[in-house]
Amino acid sequence: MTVSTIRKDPLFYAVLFTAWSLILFIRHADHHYFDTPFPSSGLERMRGGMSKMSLLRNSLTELQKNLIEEKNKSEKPHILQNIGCAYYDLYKESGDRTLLDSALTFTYHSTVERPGIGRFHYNLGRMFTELGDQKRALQQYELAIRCEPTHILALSNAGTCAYFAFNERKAAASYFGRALAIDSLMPMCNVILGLISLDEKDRHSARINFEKEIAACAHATVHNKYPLTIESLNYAASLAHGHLMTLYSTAFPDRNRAREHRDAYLKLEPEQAKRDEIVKEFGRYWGR
Amino acid sequence: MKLFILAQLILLGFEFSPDFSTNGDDAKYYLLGKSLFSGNGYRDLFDPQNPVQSFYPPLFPGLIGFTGMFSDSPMLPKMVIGVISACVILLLFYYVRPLGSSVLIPLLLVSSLSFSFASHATLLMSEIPYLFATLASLLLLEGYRRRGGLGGWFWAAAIVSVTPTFIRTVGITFSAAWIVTTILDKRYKQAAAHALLLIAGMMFLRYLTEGNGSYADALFSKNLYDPELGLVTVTDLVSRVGQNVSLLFFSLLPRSLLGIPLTRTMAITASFLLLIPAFIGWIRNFRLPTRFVSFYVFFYLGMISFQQTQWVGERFLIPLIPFLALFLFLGLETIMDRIVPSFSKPVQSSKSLRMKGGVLWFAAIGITVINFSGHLQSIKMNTGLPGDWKNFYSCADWIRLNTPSDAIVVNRKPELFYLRAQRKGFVYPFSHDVEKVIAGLQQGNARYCVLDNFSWTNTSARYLFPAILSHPERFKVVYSLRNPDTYILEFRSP
Repeated sequence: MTVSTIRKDPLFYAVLFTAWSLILFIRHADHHYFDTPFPSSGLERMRGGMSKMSLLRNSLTELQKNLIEEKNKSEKPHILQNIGCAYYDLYKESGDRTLLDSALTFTYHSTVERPGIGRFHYNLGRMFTELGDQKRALQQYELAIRCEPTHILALSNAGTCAYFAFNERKAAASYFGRALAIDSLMPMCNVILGLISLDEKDRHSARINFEKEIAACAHATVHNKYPLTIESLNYAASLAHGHLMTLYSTAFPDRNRAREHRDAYLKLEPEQAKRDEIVKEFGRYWGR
Repeated sequence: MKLFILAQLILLGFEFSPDFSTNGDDAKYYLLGKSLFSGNGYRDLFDPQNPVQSFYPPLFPGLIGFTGMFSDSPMLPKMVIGVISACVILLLFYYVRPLGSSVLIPLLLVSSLSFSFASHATLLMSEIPYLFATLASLLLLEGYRRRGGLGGWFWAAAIVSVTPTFIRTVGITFSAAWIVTTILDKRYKQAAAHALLLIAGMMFLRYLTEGNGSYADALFSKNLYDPELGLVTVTDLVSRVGQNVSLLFFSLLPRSLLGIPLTRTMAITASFLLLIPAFIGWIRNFRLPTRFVSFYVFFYLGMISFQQTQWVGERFLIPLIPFLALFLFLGLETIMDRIVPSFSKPVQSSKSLRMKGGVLWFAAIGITVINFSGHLQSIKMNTGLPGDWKNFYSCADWIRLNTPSDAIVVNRKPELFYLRAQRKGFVYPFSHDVEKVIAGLQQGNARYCVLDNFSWTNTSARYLFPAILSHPERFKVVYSLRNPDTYILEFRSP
């Protein structure tokens, strides 16, 4: 073929392009981009919350790849921390203790790579708590508080640890006092302050603390600002109701209030044995 | 010629999809065009901040916006791009015609049936209009050269020659080549006119984009997506150029010509077989009427070498495919002239001409056949969205039907999401620091976020999911799908 045999033909091309466009337009005339009917075929709805296990495993794989590939050195401690937290969440889902060991290792390394981040020490503290090593747990909570004096979760956990593991009532009260100064509606704090007050025979303060706890738990049920499960909130509230029932049956006799708290306890307590016991206790004080 | 264009349009017809592609850039262009023609200025409509767009030059979105005056559907501008791609072949014919049919016809065959070229002719992307503008400029320059003077051809050439820069920023290399060749041709007035129009256009663009960031910032950042890494050092720049050159020459260039994915060994072999003759052709082209292209390709590849490595992809090479093919055939001709002395005689026998033409045809047909497998694969795969994208769009549908119109949704592809959901949004921060991610969502006033499970990226698993786990009290699942698991979560303020 030589150049001279190639002819220009504007009309031909104009007709060709128009015909091509028309054919495409007709072929795709019924296609709607912006308003495809919902739901589309082939989609499968899921009921309930997240399927955490598969998400955690996938996230863990990506994070571990990223640990090797990441060029930004300031990201490495956060990657270690996130891997640790992912292992910890996987442990909570599956109950496999080896995962807890991995969680501890990675989280510990994140605190070494980047000291001074309260959140890292707090999470390590939680893992030591889970392991049963309360001494190390308290150390980590205290480190978290030193790094971030307003870390309310670390303050709350430190107080819980100090009271239940070491019976250090004064230290615990101090931690809870600081937590409540940041947020007076922080759940789980007032109930332990109430227990501390009972230990010190200050029933008046105990009553106030337990009632504050009930208000805090009620508020948190509607507007939960903290990573607390509904079971934890119910436990704290039931503990407060139980003790208030006792207080209103002994130190501050008021049958109606005692009954109210007994009934509230019964709604929250899942174990039948404990429910039976509180009913018996009420009966001891007030008869049937 | 007619057969080539007919064959090209038939292939494009089979590969044509009326939807936006999933890369998201076409959606961005579409929205920019809409913004221009709806009186909102040159802004990213999908972004809650409504920022002025400073990375994409305005001419291509302007073209899309113009078609939007006739129809909202993305199909119309896509058909216009398809027609422009056919016109590119026409312009290529007229531009390369002086070199003779021995090179011209194989070149047209390879260009019109190139898979890489065709794949971008069915997308709402700027490569094809950019190539059209470069070829139109070159033809107008030829017209001006034949006629001279300061009349219509002069100004048409000057005006059209600055359009590539305002279609794609890499068009600055076209302008550089234009100024160099017009000065070498002693056409100083044409060079000056081009430079003045270019400067005026850039000043206007700067005014339009309110002086926001640009590709120049990208050039000097270590990683545009990670500003904390800071600016490049000389060592970084040298390393970056080395990486990009290796990527270009041993992967992308051969792949763009052959139109199929290549293994490392195949890519290196192909690059030697194709790029050595192309290099010879590039040098030879400096002495031909098409020498502009040699300067232009040199500047173009040079500029790409300095770009951020994650951006360097096959897409950058689409406007060069016809020119690379030209160099290849010129190079093969030169090699044959050297190997067979009778081929290089001024007057050749018809047997010599046939043999030379045969070799070029053999090369052209070989490349075209390989490209055909790419076409067949594309036609087979043109059957709908994969599951991860279906779920993503279903989430967009749910948001559109169940949330207030001012709800802001964090998701991985906000421009595509916006088109479907009619809700503005942004991408979560790419940081492993979960507090930064949460703060980013908070500062952006996000109401919802889409936890996707895309196969082509892992950023949600790396950055978003750990942030959700760290603050479970702030997220509530409101919609969820399987295969793969995809969620919409409501994001609550503390």
